[in-house]
Amino acid sequence: MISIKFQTLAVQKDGNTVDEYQDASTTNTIKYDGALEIYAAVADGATDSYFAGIWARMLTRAFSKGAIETIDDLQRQLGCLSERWHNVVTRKPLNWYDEEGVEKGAFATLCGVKISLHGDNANSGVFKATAIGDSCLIQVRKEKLINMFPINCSSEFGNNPWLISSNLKSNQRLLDHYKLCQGDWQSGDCFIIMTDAIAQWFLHEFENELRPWDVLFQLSIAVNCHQAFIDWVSEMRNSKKMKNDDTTVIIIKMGC
Amino acid sequence: MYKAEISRKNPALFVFLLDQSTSMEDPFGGSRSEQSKAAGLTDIVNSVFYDMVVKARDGETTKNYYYISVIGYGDDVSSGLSGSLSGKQIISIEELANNTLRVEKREKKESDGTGQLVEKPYKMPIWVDPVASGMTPMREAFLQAKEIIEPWISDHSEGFPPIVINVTDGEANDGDPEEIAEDIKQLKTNDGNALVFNAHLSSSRSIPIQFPDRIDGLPDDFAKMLFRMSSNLPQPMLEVAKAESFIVGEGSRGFVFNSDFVNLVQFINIGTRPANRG
Repeated sequence: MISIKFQTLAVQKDGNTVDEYQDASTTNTIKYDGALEIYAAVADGATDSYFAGIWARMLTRAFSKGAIETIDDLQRQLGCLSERWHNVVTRKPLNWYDEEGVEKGAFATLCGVKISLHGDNANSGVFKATAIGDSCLIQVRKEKLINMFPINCSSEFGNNPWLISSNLKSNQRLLDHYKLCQGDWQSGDCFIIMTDAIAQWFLHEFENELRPWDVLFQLSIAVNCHQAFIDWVSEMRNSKKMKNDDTTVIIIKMGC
Repeated sequence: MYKAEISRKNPALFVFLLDQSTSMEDPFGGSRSEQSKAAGLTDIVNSVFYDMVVKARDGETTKNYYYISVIGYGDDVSSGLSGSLSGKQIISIEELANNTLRVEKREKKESDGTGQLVEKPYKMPIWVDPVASGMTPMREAFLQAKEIIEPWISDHSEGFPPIVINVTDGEANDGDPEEIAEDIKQLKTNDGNALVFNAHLSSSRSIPIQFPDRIDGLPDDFAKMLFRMSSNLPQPMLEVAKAESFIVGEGSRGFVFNSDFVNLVQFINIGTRPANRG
């Protein structure tokens, strides 16, 4: 069986507490009939919405269980997820100032990938990625970036992306904003899934003919990789190379 | 410029100047014509405060992204807040959220989706009640605003520039406020000059005006003076305003006539604002 390594690194926005982190990430492997499916997803809860971290976690968990592989799945699942979100956030009585915010709902991006391996000796296979909003997937092969999804340029990031909402009325144009990417993978490939702040840094570095994946690989194998990541993000923020925002990355190395 | 992040680490200061002179008893010529201008002012200011509280909440905590100072001017020039916030010069948004005078239950008309208008209950937090008594010492109010802003800037030199929002029905009678407003606009952080915005509440039934880019067409000399005192909307705010479908251009100023200005706060980005939030 090919060896697959996952590493998730995350840090909250500077000035906020760990409890106020509103990104989410989940990885999962599902085995059946000699095949293996790897799921990994990140979601970024919007600052300007309520209980967005809870919503982001619900989305990544649903994706990683294989429950939202297509736009039809997503549209089917949203009713149930929205109800669950509402039940969780109204478990305690709401303050007057939270009632309107809860009514408007939570909003989050979602970017997830399903990587398929067929047979125990698979050294290649296919993947399918889906995204709504500005969280991104990168695929690196033999030191070359071969896929950027759904954003291709660092200047495309803005403050007003279209996001998935727990308020179903806000999801009416979901289909227009749903992005899909499919391709193949080979042993040695690496997938990197990121929320917007680090994705924007990544693409900017790449546009300047640097190899940002090397920086992330080094961080992922550091002895205390979580602290190393926190220190590095802090350095990038202080030097204005990275926006001060919740920052999350999942690195998946296929056969390394 | 005007791109400094607004966060706990780098909070933004808003100074509200509220006209409480006797003439504010006169009827408001805006959409709420059954009200006095003083009641129109409090409705607008309470709505802005509510909006700021909601923006600083994430459902679980109130993030002190904003600090607020409220100065009332009429019989005297002093704190415009009462109750437990009385006399406080600067308060955090968390203190504001936790110290309403009361929360009123009101009703508003909303479409039920079939074209019928139905009464929908909502809660309206009250921090400021109508006051209409005395002269209009607007110049002194701007002087006090300047005294609040100066030390803030030296403590927050990397932050978003302070914003003064003056809500008035017009003429100052303690001298010229324009030159003090100009002095305030010269104060700056490394992210830009302090901003002065004005909301003019008039008894005139002229049509509401939002963020005009020229003085021609403004209904009276008071409106023209307040237009001159108002800062241009900075580029990042213009971009948000355009995205929210407001008609604004390069010369648009932070000035409204007989109109709400809740939008002014919404134009300031504090992070991701979903395009489909509505």
